[in-house]
Amino acid sequence: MEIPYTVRPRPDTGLANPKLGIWLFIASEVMLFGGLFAGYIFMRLGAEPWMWPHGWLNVPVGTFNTFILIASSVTVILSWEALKMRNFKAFKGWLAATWICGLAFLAVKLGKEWPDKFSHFGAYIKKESAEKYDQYLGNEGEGGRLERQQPPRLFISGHPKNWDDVKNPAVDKIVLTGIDEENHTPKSAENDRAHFIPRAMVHLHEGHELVLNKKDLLPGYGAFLPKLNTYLACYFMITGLHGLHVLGGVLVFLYFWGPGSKLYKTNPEQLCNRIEVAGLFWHLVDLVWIFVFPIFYLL
Amino acid sequence: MADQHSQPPAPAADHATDADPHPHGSGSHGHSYLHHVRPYLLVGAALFVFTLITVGLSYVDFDHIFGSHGMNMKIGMAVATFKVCLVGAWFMHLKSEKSSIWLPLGFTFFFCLGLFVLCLLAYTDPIHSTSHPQH
Repeated sequence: MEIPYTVRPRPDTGLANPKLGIWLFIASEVMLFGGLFAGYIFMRLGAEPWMWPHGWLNVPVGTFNTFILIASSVTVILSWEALKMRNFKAFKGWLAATWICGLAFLAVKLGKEWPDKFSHFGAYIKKESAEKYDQYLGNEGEGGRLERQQPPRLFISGHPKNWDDVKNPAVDKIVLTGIDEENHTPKSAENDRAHFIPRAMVHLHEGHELVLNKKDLLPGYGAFLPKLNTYLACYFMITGLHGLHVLGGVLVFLYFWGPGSKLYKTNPEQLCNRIEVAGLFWHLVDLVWIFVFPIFYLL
Repeated sequence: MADQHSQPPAPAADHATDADPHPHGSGSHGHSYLHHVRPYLLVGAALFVFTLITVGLSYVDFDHIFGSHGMNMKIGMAVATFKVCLVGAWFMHLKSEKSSIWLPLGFTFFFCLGLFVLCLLAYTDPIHSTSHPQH
């Protein structure tokens, strides 16, 4: 059975069915991500200033990934144009560039960005215990954050001596052998702004480690996972869902680059339409990232 | 690229009269490849540049300059929206699409906007009873 209007436009809609279908799908995706972004805004506006982090993500890496996605949006359209011009070799080349870009994006995300979070420790100090750790929080006294009219810092992050101590409820203390610059020089005004190049963690020598009492910490302490705070929950939720879309797009392009490209021999115009439809989905993926990047990495 | 063009294989007879759904049309085969892709390359370059601009602007304290809270967010979102418009208009060809696409998209935009407005309304009228003091 032949599916009608896969290439020829339907008289009533003026569009081929796949194209109308993908646009309806895109509309549903806009609502999906729109809902998530709206939820993000809701939680960010409602969060206390000390609770919402700024400058946690690696901006050069995020910028690199943005360039990769933009480049892939260009290559997919070059591939489609090549197909329209019946240049099969160029079509294959540009499509290969597209899925390679998609894989590179995922590799950066899953090989660098997320693992960095999984190996990074963070904990919020209870307000009533903050004074004990003020050496690392820098709120009180001359030049402190409160004097500089900054929201109080109640967050300590770094690297624990032993991850098992973090997870084991029988252990009541966590020893940090490395702390982030914000906690090393907590009163420095340099900490009030985000840094383009991430600053290295400061190693604490033996005998000078930071000891955190678990009773002084808010629940959720541990690696930079969704349970640590709302920002990370939003970050993993939205970038994870976006990553799944990237993976879906890559699989589709791999199919059209491989076995799916055989259609060129029998019906090149239909293959052209398929690439156009897949390309529209890919542009949506790019479009979502254009908002994700500034919201999570920069602002 | 252009010198690599090969002749298209003869389409199957039952598809030979299929119309090209794209505004460029199948009659564009005689044009050079470079001529066709030039706008896309320019838009791609613009997106690269505006990404750098977005990054650069995020390190300027507009809240302090304008004396208004949230200016950095507004400016960052304005640049992002402009980039999205470029992608939509050129890469997704919305600038020359039919009403059968614009219409559902218009509804989507309306309801999506509604989601954001609801959030802002909630912000202006917060439910204080859920703001538990921290432990």
